[in-house]
Amino acid sequence: MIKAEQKSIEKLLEYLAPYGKIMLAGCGACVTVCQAGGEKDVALLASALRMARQKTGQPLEILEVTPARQCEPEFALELADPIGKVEAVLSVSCGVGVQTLARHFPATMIFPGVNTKFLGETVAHGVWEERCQACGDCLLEKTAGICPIARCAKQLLNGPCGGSSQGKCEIKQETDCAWQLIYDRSKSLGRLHRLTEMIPAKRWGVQSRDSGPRRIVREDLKV
Amino acid sequence: MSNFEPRIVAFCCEQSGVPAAEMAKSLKLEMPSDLEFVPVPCSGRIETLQLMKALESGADGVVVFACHEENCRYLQGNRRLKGRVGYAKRLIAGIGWEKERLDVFNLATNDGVKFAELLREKAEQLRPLGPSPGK
Amino acid sequence: MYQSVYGDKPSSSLQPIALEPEALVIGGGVVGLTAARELAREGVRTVIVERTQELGGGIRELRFFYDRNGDVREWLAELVSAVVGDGNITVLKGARLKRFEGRFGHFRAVIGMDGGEERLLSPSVVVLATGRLSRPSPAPDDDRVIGLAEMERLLEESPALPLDRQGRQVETIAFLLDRTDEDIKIHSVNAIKQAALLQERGCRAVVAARDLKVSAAGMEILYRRAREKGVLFFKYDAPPVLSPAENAINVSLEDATALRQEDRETFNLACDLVVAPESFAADPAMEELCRLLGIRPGVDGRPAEDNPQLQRIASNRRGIFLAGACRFPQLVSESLTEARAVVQEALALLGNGTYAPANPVAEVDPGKCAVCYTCARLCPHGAIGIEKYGERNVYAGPAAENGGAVWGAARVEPAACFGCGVCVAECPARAITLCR
Repeated sequence: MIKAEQKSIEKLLEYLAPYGKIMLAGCGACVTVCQAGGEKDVALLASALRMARQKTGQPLEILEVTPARQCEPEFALELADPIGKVEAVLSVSCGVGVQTLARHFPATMIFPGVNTKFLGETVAHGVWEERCQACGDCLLEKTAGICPIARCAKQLLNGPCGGSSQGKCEIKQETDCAWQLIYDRSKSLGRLHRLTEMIPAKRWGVQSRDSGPRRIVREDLKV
Repeated sequence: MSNFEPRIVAFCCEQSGVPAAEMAKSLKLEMPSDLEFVPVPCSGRIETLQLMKALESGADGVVVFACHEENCRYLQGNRRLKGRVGYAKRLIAGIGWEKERLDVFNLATNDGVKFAELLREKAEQLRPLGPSPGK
Repeated sequence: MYQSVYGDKPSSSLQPIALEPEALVIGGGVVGLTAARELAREGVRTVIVERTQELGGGIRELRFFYDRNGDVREWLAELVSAVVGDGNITVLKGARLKRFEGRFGHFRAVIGMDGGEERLLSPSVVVLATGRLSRPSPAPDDDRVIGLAEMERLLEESPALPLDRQGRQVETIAFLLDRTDEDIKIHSVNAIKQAALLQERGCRAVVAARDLKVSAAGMEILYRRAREKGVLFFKYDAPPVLSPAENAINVSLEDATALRQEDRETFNLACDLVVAPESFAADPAMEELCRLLGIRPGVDGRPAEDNPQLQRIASNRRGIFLAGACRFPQLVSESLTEARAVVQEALALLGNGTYAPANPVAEVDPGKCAVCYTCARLCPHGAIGIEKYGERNVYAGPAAENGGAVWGAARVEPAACFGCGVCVAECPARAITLCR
């Protein structure tokens, strides 16, 4: 799911400097799981912000709310009443949630409290790694379930570069070479022959966001 | 300022801090006068939020008494707590509060003397800092 | 001022749970047999799952007790017969644990049999008693260097003089005890026992040890008896040197019992046989067993005890016990004590058919659970799993749209919870409270 990381407390204090009463809005889904914007993180951040402002003599009143998600209109609208009572909102949901709130509450400034980093997998408790870049045309079938767009530093589509060494990437030595992983897994699955098929270059201009925000419309679901 | 007696909240793990505290009390060892004890089943039960809230609500110092690192009765609760104290310390530094206001100590059940000593030392350390900025 | 570590509401889940008097014993050695027999005597229906076709395990190599008279094989035969004849005990041979699910009060075990058949069991308690494997010591390749097991057999075959091996008379035997790790007790006890028996048969027995410990019940008496019978004891630092001699094997060692280096003498012993005790190793299958049972693996391939000093025979999960050599290298007498300790603890848990959680227990609010698996992963006691029981879920639409669906969420089994609160603190959604 979406993985994010909280912005530094110094940055957030900078955003909130002009205000005396704000809402701190968390989200019960992705940012909860990566410990950046769930109910616990909201409470902790609110505490730290209040303490910081106590020291400077300009108290900050914070309304803490954590709806189940922020990216659904109904969940966002649940916040309509409390938003009317604050001067600004600091949202620690991902960028989607921040913008959903911004769309529904045009009169209130919504600040982003986290940096939305990537779509990723939980590798271990407290460790998350990027796995998908939402290119829009999934080729995982050709690469035995390992994505070279997300996991190869150069996003190569037809084998490793010359810098691949001992299974590691020349750009960042701790990183496994994605094409080594693809090769090993294709071999163990008996699909090595698939790697002889050329994967054409990605048509970023057509499949991806080069023409602005992408959209999915399911006509069958519209009534 | 010289009469200032720091208010210390001491989170005590029931497997180490609490028995040590009881030993210190039964030995009638001298301890800081403004102390509040919070017993927890394992130091791993203590949330980062509770450490911050204690400071936010007016404690001048917060300490945690946990078991020695390899000795957690519940495997790694004390290691998790250590990580949380580290996170809280960075937050506290980020908002400009003194880092001495939060600390974690490892001890065993029979460390009554050490328990009292550590608390006295912490009070000494907090005295010149004055009341917490939150007051 | 600070938030209480305990929630305000009493737990809705502190109801006692029902426990059937059923036990699963994994391992058909003396520990498993003894535990099963004593559980059965108290009315607990017990299933013994033994990997091989034979019951008895490692004790089948023993013939003599070190602290009393009697024949080990006869003793074992009586034990096996009592177990096999017990109406409350089912013995499954050629069987192994294939799958294991659930938490205390709801364990489900699937046993796979050699022929492919499967049995489904619902034990309330599980006893892990799989013992250890024995490995020959890395001694020189000379057929006059044997292990304790072979010496035990030789002693049995020759109850009186002369001691005969492969047509040759055996008069002088040296025991070389090189290990100073956990195996030291087993080696010392058996070597001294055998040495004393050899002296009784008119042989000359010598025990040369790097270190000698008499730290088991009856061991001091055994040592004294061996000395009285004339067994010679040497201590060494530098390892003895073995070399072939005419019709013998020569053992050369520098005796380190003298305090001063100048007083140390080098002895050359012309031996007919040298006994280099086998070492014991953890069963490699233990790793898989730990994974299946969900218990924490410890050091050296052994399962981890919940608390090595205060709760040796309990694994980290309530209801799953460890006993005998699979937990730690020990003498048979010690492992039987552990078997009985396990039975006591198991019976205490089974009680009168119910178990009421006593400590504070953690409780998950399924509506807030993001099913991130954090609590299930981190629980030191394997008490948390994901189950379908929630009416709401953060990933579903607003409540009205759910239409009666049941959602997966983390659930703490109250009977398996130890109340440490680690999950409460780690839950990113603050969905868990510690309730009294």
